[in-house]
Amino acid sequence: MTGAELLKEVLQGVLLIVGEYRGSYAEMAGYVDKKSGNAIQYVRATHVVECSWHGHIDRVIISERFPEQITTVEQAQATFSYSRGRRYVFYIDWFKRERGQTYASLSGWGIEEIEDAREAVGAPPGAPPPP
Amino acid sequence: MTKSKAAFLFASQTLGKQRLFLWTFTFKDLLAVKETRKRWNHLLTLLVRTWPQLQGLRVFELHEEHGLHVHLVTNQFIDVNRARQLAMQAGWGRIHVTSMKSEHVGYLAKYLSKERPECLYRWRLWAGFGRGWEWTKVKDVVRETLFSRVYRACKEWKRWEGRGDFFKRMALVRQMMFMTIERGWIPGHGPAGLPYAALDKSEFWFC
Repeated sequence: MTGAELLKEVLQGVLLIVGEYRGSYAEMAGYVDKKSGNAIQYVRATHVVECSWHGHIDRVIISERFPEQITTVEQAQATFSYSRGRRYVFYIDWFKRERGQTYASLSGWGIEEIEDAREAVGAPPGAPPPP
Repeated sequence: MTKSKAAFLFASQTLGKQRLFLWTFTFKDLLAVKETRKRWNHLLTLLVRTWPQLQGLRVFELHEEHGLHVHLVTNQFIDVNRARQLAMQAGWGRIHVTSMKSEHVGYLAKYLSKERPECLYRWRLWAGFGRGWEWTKVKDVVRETLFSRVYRACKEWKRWEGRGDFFKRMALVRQMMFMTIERGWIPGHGPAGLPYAALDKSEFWFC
């Protein structure tokens, strides 16, 4: 996704978070009933993203629920094709700020990398990146 | 999924593995929530008195237009006409019953995931009733997530007891969780799988 495409989506009002990817963790989360020993389990991922919040850098916890086809942690991990330190767009369903921490939930649109055009500040629109 | 919803699903599994009956009790007129609860207590007393072996779960749902109403899941068939009489006696309006498979009980659990209206703050949105069975309560449910594992390790490390410094504790657990994700640690352990207590203090500048 280019910066122009991203700007277009922001202006359209698409709910998204732009941030630097820090890492992900896939797990078999769930609940266990101490009485019966029954368990409810599901695969989910937690992504940590750094972004700006009121003038300082903050980490955002973005959780991801997987479609039914993904039933193991390994399958979930295989979907992590992100590089630490790169900037991505995270399309979200909701976000909340709770006790000083921002949480969000990833929507079906997922995560898209932002193409780093490395344009010089003030360069005319569409100017090629420096060599 | 909240702990309450998980407890409800566990309780419904205990209630019946085959066929369940879903009851809906509503009013003709819109009533205040406290009045509804009062009438529900009356109706439940009448139901249990009439069918002493009755076991089930009830869920309160605040409808956007029709106010508070009650859903009931039971594992035994009871006479609808008699139940209707009792409902009228307790001041209820329409009742509806349908049989359902136990795996469809998640339909009721969806109410428990919705944001709780302010007027139902501190209410038990669901509860079990009846003799001869133990339904799962929220305190019986253990959550297994990265956060809970890191929390337990921090609790052991810092020897936390009681409920003091709750916000400080949460902030520490969050920091440890971030480090676990960013540095690829085993949940509940530091680098090289060492327990938190065995690590150099300079690693944990934020503590």
